Amino acid sequence: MVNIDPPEDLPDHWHTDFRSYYLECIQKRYDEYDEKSHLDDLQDGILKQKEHRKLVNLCVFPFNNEPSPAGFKFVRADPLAELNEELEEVEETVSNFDFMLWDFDGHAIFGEAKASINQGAKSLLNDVQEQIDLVEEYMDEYIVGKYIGVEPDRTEYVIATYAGDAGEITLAAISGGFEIITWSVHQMEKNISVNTELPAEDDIPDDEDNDDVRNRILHSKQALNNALGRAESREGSFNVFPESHPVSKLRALTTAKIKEEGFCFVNLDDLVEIIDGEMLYLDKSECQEVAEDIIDLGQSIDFLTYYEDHPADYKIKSRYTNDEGLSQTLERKWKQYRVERRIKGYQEYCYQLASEKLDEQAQLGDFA
Amino acid sequence: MLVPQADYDIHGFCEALFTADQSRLFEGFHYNHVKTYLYTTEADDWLQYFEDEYFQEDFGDITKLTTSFTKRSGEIGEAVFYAVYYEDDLLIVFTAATENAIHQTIERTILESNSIVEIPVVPADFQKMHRRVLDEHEDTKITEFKSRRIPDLADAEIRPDYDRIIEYKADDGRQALKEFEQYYGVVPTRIQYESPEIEFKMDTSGKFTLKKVNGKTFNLLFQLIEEVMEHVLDIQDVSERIRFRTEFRQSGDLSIQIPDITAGEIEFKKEFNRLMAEEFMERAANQDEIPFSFTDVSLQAGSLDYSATVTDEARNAFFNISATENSMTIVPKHNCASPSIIQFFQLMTHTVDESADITLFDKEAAYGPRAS
Repeated sequence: MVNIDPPEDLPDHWHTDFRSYYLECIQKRYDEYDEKSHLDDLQDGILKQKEHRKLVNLCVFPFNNEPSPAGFKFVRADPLAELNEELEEVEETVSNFDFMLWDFDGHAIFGEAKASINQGAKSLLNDVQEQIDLVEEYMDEYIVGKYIGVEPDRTEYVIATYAGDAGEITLAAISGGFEIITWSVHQMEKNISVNTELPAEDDIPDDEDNDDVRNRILHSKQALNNALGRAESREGSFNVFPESHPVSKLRALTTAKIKEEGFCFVNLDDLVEIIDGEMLYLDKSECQEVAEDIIDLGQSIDFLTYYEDHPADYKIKSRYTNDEGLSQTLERKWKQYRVERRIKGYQEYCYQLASEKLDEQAQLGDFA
Repeated sequence: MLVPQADYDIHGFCEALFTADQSRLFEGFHYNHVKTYLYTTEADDWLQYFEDEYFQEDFGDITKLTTSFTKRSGEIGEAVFYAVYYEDDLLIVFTAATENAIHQTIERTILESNSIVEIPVVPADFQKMHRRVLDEHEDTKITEFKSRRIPDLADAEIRPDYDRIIEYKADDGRQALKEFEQYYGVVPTRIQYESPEIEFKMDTSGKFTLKKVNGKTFNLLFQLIEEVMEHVLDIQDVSERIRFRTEFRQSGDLSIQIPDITAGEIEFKKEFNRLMAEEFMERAANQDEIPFSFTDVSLQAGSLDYSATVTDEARNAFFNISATENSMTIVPKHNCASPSIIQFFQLMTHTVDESADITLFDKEAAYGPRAS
């Protein structure tokens, strides 16, 4: 008999039925559930996010320098991430851009980095168009109010992708009438160029000529087109962004570690400082919030524990003290946590289902 | 090591060492050796790191630093160091203290300063010093050496795939050094020289042990410093400019914080490949004194695309690296100052590419106004 407590208000004579419904449901879920494949998917998610972070870093590196191409500066990753933070768990997240550049002279650029375009160029462009609408909707509240203090005279939008996919996006942007610029990122040569394609006659919308098309797919500042054409880029400016994978965020814990007598400890203040160094564009209270969320998750996955016998706030639960070992522990514990959550989700679902079935049964009984 | 208090310059101090009554100078020590440590630092005010735990005495250009340590017997002992900021560039420390005392005191102070670091002696510079010793003292014998198998620096005729360390003690070390290099592909990391006039030992960490305390040995020491000083200072100069700075800029009513990165570049003279990257990470993690950890590693086959976050475990300092076949970029992160970068670069030259060079990512050329 399955070890599950039926709802307290359920009469005793229905307990067996409840357990039987629950067992039937949960057995089916367990039979269908493939833990190994779930773990593989989780690992895949970590790797995909790493690839994405690499691409975003390649896109923004030139703008983290002084001088920078045409004077543009990287001012923020994941602009409008706030919209997702304010959501309840059941609400669907909005899709926002990956980075924002600003020349401090009226010209803003929002960029979306796509390491692969499996979804197809047209669908991607449509998605980005929705992101553009979102930027326009929240221009006053966030872009002006929080990010750059003034309304830009001109705002341009970029899809950055690896060189192999750039042509397809540019052609789809031309024929679809999108005002979206394609950056072609060369992973090996570490450079970025503004992609142009020579469209066939049929690709150009009827009411446009070649110049109109060029205006849509190139930056209006020629200096930026030129500078990007010869700009070398590099990776590694940032290890974590506001919407990074939880594992990337959790790694900040190992950066904050204090080693002492074979153990590692973490202070919240140190973590806040590290987050501040990674996300320069967040204010102190936002950094504090991010750090607290990381601490909470660290405790949930059993990587971190509150510790009273030491001046530091928390102790790391790992037999390693070096970063490589800690990082492995962290990934393993996060994946295990996700597996347990999945199982718990099944259990809750089946509990609910068994309760509903009994309700139905009771109603039928009343009717009879 | 007790030197009478006086107003010394560096030469006067060395003379005081070799003219002193040796039995009084080294009273209480088993060996009459002057250990000399060479450090580089960007901090002119390096003495601040010796304020809390050391008693400082002014000996002119020299500062006497005295501190306590715990002997193996459990008793409290006194460790004495004489430090000088040589030509306002290198920090030279003279001592007769035991390894145990040094480990507990100055080694820890240097590490915690995150500003002072052992001079980076790259293989080419070690070779230069080695040749200089042999040139100056043709009759010298090599009586002891330690060599290590480094596949990228030497071919081995015998079982090249074995990682090996060879420690050798015999009067025919001069010949054996060459033979081991040829047959076993090992390169020296420590050599001891002996002739009727000089006797001293040097290693790649910037430590020189003067076993004969006389004018000729001191002369040689300063000749060797001159051999490498320029390169050491170049490396120091580049490393201290590698920084992740931020600045605030006004935009409308807001003050926006933006990054200003000055990245470093290690330029390879040989083609860097996946195998070398793997071997390098393994070696770096296994270093006894300066272990580096690698996380968030991405290493793709084919044309090399390699990136990782590197942790200097001793200093808890972090930096990101990304490499192609030709170069490796360093972006400094949390806690990262020049000591971590210098030791990482030195390690690279001792494991992967002895001729690698360190420079800055040229942002002016990359993003500056185009020269017409």
